Amino acid sequence: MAKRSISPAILDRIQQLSSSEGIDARTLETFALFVLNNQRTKKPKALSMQALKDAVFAHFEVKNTTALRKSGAFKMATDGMDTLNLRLKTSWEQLHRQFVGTLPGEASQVGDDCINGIDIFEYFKPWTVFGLDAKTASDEEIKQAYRQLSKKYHPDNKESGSARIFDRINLMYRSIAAEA
Amino acid sequence: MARRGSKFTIKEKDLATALEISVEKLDEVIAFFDADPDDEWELKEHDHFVYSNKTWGNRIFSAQGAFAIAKYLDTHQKKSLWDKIREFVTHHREKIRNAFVKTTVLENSSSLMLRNDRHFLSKKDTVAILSTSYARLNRSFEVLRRSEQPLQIGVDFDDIDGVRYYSLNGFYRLSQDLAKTLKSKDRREWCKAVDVAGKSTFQAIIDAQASRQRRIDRAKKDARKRDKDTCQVSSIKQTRHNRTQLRLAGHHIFSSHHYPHLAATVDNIITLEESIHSEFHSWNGGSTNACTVDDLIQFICERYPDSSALLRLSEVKGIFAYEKAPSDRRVSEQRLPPDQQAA
Repeated sequence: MAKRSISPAILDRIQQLSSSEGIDARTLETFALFVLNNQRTKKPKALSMQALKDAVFAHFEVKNTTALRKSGAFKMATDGMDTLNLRLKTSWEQLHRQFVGTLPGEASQVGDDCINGIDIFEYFKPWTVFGLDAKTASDEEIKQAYRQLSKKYHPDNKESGSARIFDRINLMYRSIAAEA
Repeated sequence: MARRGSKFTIKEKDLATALEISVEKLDEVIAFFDADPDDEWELKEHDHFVYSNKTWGNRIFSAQGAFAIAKYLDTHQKKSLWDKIREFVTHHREKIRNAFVKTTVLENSSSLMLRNDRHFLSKKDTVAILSTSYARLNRSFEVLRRSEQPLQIGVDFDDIDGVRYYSLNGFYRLSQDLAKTLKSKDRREWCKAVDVAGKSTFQAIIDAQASRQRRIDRAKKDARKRDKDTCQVSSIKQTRHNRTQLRLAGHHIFSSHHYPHLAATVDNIITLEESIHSEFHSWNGGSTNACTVDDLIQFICERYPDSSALLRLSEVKGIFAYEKAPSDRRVSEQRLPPDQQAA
């Protein structure tokens, strides 16, 4: 995100507060910049049903839903997934997340189920969740990142523990630590 | 496809149809090719065609042979056939490749099993179906592991009894990677074809498995009806008053895994209390260990000597007298040694 500048009106207010409350003006300016850079911005527009479909069709190299249903690759890829109702947008979003990539507006999510901007129950992106570079991370670095996260989310941790997040992290670790 | 057999696969009739001419016309063209050995038009045996019947002059063509004839017709006709013959040969090769894929899938799907609503295939079968090596498959796995979206344990792959299995989605991801990265075009195309033709074959196997399971379930239900909801060892009947405590199970007298042909036969199923059923399998060395009617008879003699089931079992023994004892069975520690067994 581009760094924002402080408007003259805010700068005037900072000067006022600085003299009346005795707070350092530089501190207030830094805080103002922090707020500007972290405030909620307009959510990117969600993909339309057709755009979602087109992306999924392109992935499976088919032209329409009928061909997708018949596609061997699609059947194989979705074997075992909960029954998909292809009349619902949520099903197409699910397919997009799994096979095409991150949906607009879900690139850096915030919430109880999110780690490093990823909703860990919507996306399976262990490398991002563990804050590691998939190409270069060593086994030791994977272990270390796992240990840090598991400490934080262990059910015994009264402050931030969560059994379901802990299980999910555990599953991610076992997936990226597995040998061929 | 040269990789899996002869390159001569195009029959005269199919070639004539693709060239939009009659078989007779095709014969005339071939006769022209043969007439003057010094002209530029040449059809070589073992290169462009082979004889399927030399006496009758029946030939089977290679793609090169088909192209040579199409080229000749193109220069002698106004309408261009080149694109059509190219499409025909491509499609023909695809059809042959898909047929080979189907056969390979059928021959290498014995490990296909359902686990957590997903179908899993052993690594050995995966390697065989993708016509690759363990080392190359390992490399693909490593590429996927280091990708933005790695394979997920329990969903895309799993280790079952120490053996690596891949789900159909895991299999699909691996075949996709191989279809993109293999050096040989032929092998890339093979992996691509597995995506297309493989699933329908897997589906056929899965459907057959489901249908078999339905037949087994029906046979168990019929056996239970025949046994009047009564455990044949303890003679306790399941009623509406005791149904929460007394659970019944349909036991395969000859184990379904080792005697698959008897799995859906009502005569091979006996109704037992679930606790007795578990007790028998534990006595026999685990539920995956092979069992026969003789094992159940011995178990009843040792543990439930008063049971009236022995008469029933001797009848079953007569019905399946021709069944051979299983060759691969584990020794059970719970069973009495032969010198202590009742005569």
